[in-house]
Amino acid sequence: MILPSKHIRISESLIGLGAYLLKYLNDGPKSVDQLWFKVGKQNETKKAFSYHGFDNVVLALNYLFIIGAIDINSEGLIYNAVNKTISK
Amino acid sequence: MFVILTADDLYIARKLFQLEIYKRNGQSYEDFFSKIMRLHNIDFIQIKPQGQFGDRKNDGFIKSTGQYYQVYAPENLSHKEKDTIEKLVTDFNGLYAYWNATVTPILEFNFVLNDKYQGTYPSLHPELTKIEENHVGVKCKPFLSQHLEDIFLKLPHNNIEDVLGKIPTAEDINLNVSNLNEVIEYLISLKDGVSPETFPVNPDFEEKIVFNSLSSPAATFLRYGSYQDGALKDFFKVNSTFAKDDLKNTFSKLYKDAIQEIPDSDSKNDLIFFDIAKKAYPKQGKVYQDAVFVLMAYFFSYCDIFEEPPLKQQQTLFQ
Repeated sequence: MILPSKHIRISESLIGLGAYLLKYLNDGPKSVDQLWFKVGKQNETKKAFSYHGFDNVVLALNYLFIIGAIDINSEGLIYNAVNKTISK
Repeated sequence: MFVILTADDLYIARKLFQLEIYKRNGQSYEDFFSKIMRLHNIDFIQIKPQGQFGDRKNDGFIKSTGQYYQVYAPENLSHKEKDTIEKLVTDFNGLYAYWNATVTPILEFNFVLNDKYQGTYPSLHPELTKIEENHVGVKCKPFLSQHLEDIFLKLPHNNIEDVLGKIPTAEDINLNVSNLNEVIEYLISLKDGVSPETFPVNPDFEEKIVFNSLSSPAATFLRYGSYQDGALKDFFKVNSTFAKDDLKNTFSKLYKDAIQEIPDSDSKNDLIFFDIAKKAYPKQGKVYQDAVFVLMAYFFSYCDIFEEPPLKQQQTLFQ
């Protein structure tokens, strides 16, 4: 579910997870493995609003790519395609 | 094993029985009727249709008492007045011609109708009387859903469970998470369309039970189901988050279908409750029943099934 709904909170939706992934990309380009590692860590903390499996991470990355929010650089790493200042 | 059903269990059994009556037509009703009659009286003999002769206008009889039963269960009896009377007359004549002389004299002819608790036409009774007058010694009467229900509820409790499956009890609802997954997968496979989102303004569980006039047994299922809410939320958190939306649509559809299918009566909401529960089991078994009741309690609390009580508003002075 991309958008939140009556039973899907924003933190459970792909748009919510997408926001987390973009936040992780603020530190610079990352591989899918590195992003999943971050999400996995987040899942284990008590602060996590929702649990997200690897499937959801892939779906959220697809969604971010489709809307042009992320792209892949020459090294095969994912970077924030909107805020270019943090993509190098 | 000897089974003892409490008053609440019998209430639930009665509602489940009524749902069977509403659902069954034609051969399916005849099979249901025969099963109950066989359990009620071991002398009841069901007649299997035989090639070109059919059942010789006799669906079942008790030889020792001379009681004969002929079943008629069209989809909607209320539009079949002429057909019903025609069937009564032809079937009785056929029955009398073959069975009276060759097997055992007819002392009682029961015209079994699935009236779905609506009663039968006034015009049927003069025809029954006419048959009695023309055939001295034969009692002729309609045998309606209410009569089958009376027989059914007097059956030993083991037999009641034979017919309906295990009668669920609210007190020992226990969520088995591995079975929950199977129930959810089954429910998602039922899904059809998307229902509009309505956000409840007044999500008070107890108030909703009263507002929807649910009986005490149905309310107990919802309350006990809601006690497992924590386990359900944990399950959703790590398993199928997105399934929640699909489940909402499925339950909402089951609820709307039940409103259409079940005729109006004082206990309509209870019948809807048990209808949803029954359709949501992937297969018979307590673990599946429990999972379904927990899910129903969850979606009941969010008003995806049953209606939301209107918000109390203070009346204005000048209205």
